[in-house]
Amino acid sequence: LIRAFAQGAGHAIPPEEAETLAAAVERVAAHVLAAEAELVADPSTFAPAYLS
Amino acid sequence: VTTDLAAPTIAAAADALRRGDVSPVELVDDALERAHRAQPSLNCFITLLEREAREAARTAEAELRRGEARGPLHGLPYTVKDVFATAGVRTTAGSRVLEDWVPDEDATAVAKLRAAGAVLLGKTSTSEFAAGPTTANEHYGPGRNPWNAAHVPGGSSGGSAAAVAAGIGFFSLGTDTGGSVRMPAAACGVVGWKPTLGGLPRAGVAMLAWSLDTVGVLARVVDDVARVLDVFGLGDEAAALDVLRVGLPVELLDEPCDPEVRALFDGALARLVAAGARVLPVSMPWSRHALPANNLISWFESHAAHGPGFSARAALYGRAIAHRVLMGAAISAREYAAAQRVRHVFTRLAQGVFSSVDVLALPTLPVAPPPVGVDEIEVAGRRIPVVEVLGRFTRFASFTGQPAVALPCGLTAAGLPVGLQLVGPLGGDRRLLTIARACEGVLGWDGRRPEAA
Repeated sequence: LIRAFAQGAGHAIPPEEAETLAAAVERVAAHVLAAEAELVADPSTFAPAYLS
Repeated sequence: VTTDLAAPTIAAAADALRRGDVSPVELVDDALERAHRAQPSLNCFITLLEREAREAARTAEAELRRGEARGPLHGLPYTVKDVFATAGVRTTAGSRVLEDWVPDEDATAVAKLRAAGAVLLGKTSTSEFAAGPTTANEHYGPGRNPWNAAHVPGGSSGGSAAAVAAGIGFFSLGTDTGGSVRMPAAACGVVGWKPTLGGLPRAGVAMLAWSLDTVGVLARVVDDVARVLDVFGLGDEAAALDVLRVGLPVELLDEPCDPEVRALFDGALARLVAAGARVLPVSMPWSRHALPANNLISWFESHAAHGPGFSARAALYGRAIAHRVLMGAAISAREYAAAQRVRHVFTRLAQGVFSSVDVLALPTLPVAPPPVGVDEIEVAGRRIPVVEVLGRFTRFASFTGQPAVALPCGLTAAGLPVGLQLVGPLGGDRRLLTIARACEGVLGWDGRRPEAA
């Protein structure tokens, strides 16, 4: 996605730099999804598990 | 003029103006002279408004002579970060994308200060589109620290903090998305105020991340911050404080922190305790989610704000903002929604903490301001990228939107400032300001200023 967006914008980004950015996003997104599972009991009802 | 015009507080300067001991023209001339002297070494400004400032000072002087006083800021010089639109004056946001943009109207906050008679000296240096904690800027050059020009002034409002520390203007407006007012305030030894999210008007301010961007104030003392907030109807209350309960967020304080910074932080707490405060450990195991979730929201919203512009003119964007825009492209709506859900629960939990404490206390920065141009630093035995380490203690209040203030609390052995950060509950701005005023009085900083001032 990063390479595709850069390419669409005519922005040259070395593959290894794109990989580094993608890895950072993956790491952060994985943490956020785990945090959601920890804090929010049911996203569809938005019930916060931590407060129950 | 025989007195040091940059030293007085806003209240003292306003008194001097009222008595006729000094004039707005003298104050502005003095500030401009300091700005010219400091610019080659500190690069505080992207645009200095010499002619406009002198003209506004003459107008203020005539008004004051006619008895048309507009309040304590009337005739006092100040600066704004170059992300605030200024009518008839170019507003670059630190970017080549906007290098020729001359807005027709002032940002709302600037218009308020103009109406209060404050005199705008110039537009201060910033990271491109306020993205970055060091005021590195490949288009306009890096900002530098007035305590040691080989070091960064913090960021992204680094030009504002450096100007205030160097005695150029009485205060400055900055913006704070992940700590961009508090971090440079700590790095430059001044006070940095981030109100509750949305507390100060941000219409006419270049956007970085819509749900996080907050306008803030930098000044040399808390009372000066309060005088500026008065213009916006947000000054503090004259309230007596009971025993102050200071919460120590134990999990956050386990994050890597330079031992010298930690020792100065502990010393500041000891001073508060000696003055009668109670320090209580507060466990918030969920607090570790603030940094990643705040980053994810910030990258996603940066992409939303700047993606279209980047697609049209990618060559004009610097590396740091380009990286944020590109990372935002890789975040899904599902992940963004998860981050906002986490934020909602997290904020409720963080509000609950204030049933047992009045403020949370943290170092503002986990390290002293690093040297300019360094990408990685060692913190407690670990090599960490500078951009990842600086905001570790400021993201909490950005994520919750809670008000927070950075107070100078000491100097390292190398002579670089260290800050104490206090966080209050949402909407508790007035009380936090009162608490900050009381704490400032016992921290022993005593208005220290760099030789550059």
